[in-house]
Amino acid sequence: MFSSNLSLDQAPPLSAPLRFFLTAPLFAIIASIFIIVNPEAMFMHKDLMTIAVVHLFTIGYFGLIMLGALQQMLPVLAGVNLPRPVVLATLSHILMVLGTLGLSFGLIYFHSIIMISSLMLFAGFAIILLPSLLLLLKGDFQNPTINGMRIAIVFGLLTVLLGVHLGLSYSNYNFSVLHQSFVDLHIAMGTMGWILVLVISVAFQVIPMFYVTPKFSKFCMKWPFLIAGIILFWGLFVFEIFTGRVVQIVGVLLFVVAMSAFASVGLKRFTQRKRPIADTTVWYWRLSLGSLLLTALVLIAKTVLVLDGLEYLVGVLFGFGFGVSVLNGMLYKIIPFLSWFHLSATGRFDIPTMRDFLPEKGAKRQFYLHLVALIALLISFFIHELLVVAGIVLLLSFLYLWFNLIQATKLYVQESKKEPVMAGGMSWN
Amino acid sequence: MNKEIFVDVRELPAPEPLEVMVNTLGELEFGAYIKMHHRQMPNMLFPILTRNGYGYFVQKGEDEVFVYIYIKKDKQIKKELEDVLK
Ligand code: HEM
Repeated sequence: MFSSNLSLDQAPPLSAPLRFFLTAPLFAIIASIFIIVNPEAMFMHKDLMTIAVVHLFTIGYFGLIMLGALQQMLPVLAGVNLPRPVVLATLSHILMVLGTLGLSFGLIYFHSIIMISSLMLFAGFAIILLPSLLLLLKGDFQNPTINGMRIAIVFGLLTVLLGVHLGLSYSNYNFSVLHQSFVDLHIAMGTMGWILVLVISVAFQVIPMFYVTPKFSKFCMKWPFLIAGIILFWGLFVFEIFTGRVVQIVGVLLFVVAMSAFASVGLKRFTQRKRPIADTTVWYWRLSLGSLLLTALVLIAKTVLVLDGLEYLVGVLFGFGFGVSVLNGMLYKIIPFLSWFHLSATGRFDIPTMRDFLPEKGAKRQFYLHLVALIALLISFFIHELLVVAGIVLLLSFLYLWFNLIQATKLYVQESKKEPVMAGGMSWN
Repeated sequence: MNKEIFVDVRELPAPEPLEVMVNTLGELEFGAYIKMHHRQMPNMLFPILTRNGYGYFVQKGEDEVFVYIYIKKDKQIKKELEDVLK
């Protein structure tokens, strides 16, 4: 037994994570416009326009939302809080916004700003990730979500460090002989180590908690460690310490097994819910995990059958189908919850319900647009001319998402201006 | 003790347990306490409790958690809970 009136009283103020959630869609909107303006570039994965679009999503969307979510998850998961949350959030957010804009526009138009933008991004990530890592390292080593987050954060920081190195190369157009090895490691660490491991660790916690499913098994809980091992193995391959086609195929197959194992168990959990009410976030999770399975299939085709030019498909399925879908589902859970939570923590009990902050109807319509965008992006692989249309649907889906989030925030602001009304039993306070 | 308000939120998807608990707090009076049965540590509930003048005790099992909530100024109930939970 213990009484824990400790330091839990300092859940970060809403403004700290919210600024990340509300600005992230803007980067996806810019990316959609880039796609509409220059669709052909997307089918060439070394095109600077493509690299810019990739980072608008990986940093501007995924990075920003996960930095916001981490601040919020630390107290829930580990009972710890970042010190001076608003100062850290403000600094990190400004650096991330300027850095993402600088990197993406810099790659396309002004190479001179790539270096400073890369450094800003490193600082922006580190300001939240480093203190989070330090706090998590103190905590419980039995908790699989915390273990997974530690691994993901380490890979996130390494990805960004490698990114700074790559950014430097692009800023003075001076590429080392090992450039491609660094790029391959950057991609593997960024996608598998940072994005996948982070989503898996969050899923361990969030799927049983939000959807009342059985927990993930003890074996599943080891995935983050296994993926870390596979990335190290892959690192030895890309730096040609291990060589040969067999090593390459084994490496890719290991990634494929990890992805499909997580996706299948995750999908199964959604069939095992105690109260199977399908809200939009459930569909987002299903779409996300389904896309991850498809990514695995395409990776097999690309590597084993040596099919070239599949990078576009891998990018769409993993980045948009898996990554963006899971984030949208998370946003639709987190924003109503946080708005409600911060109002109720003020001692007011006459507040709107969580549903009121994000009506299901709007979320569902936005999901349909998202789904159509994904299908159109996939068909564009076969009919390149369609990518402009896909880009327009993509743009609309993010505009709609942003509108939904802004509506929720408006309601929060409106409600938070009302005088606190103490509920009946609270008058002793 | 028959002044217990028992709330089992184990089967509710997050964040419904929190919503239920906040509503139940309104029913709590001097001389009574709430016993909450949950699947996991309700970390987000604690700040709501402390900010609004409630105290609590936590009993943690392998896969379940019990939280006992009382009105902080109600020293009598606090003492009774302490004695029982020891
Ligand atoms: C400071 C932050 C970052 C910088 C400056 C940066 C820079 C770069 C550069 C210059 C390239 C092109 C390499 C080449 O092919 O020659 C690249 C590729 C890539 N980066 Fe980053 N990166 C950063 C963060 C990230 C993060 C966090 C991710 C997360 C997954 C990521 C994912 C990728 C991917 C997937 C590619 C391959 C793109 C393609 O080939 O089309 N990057 N990065």
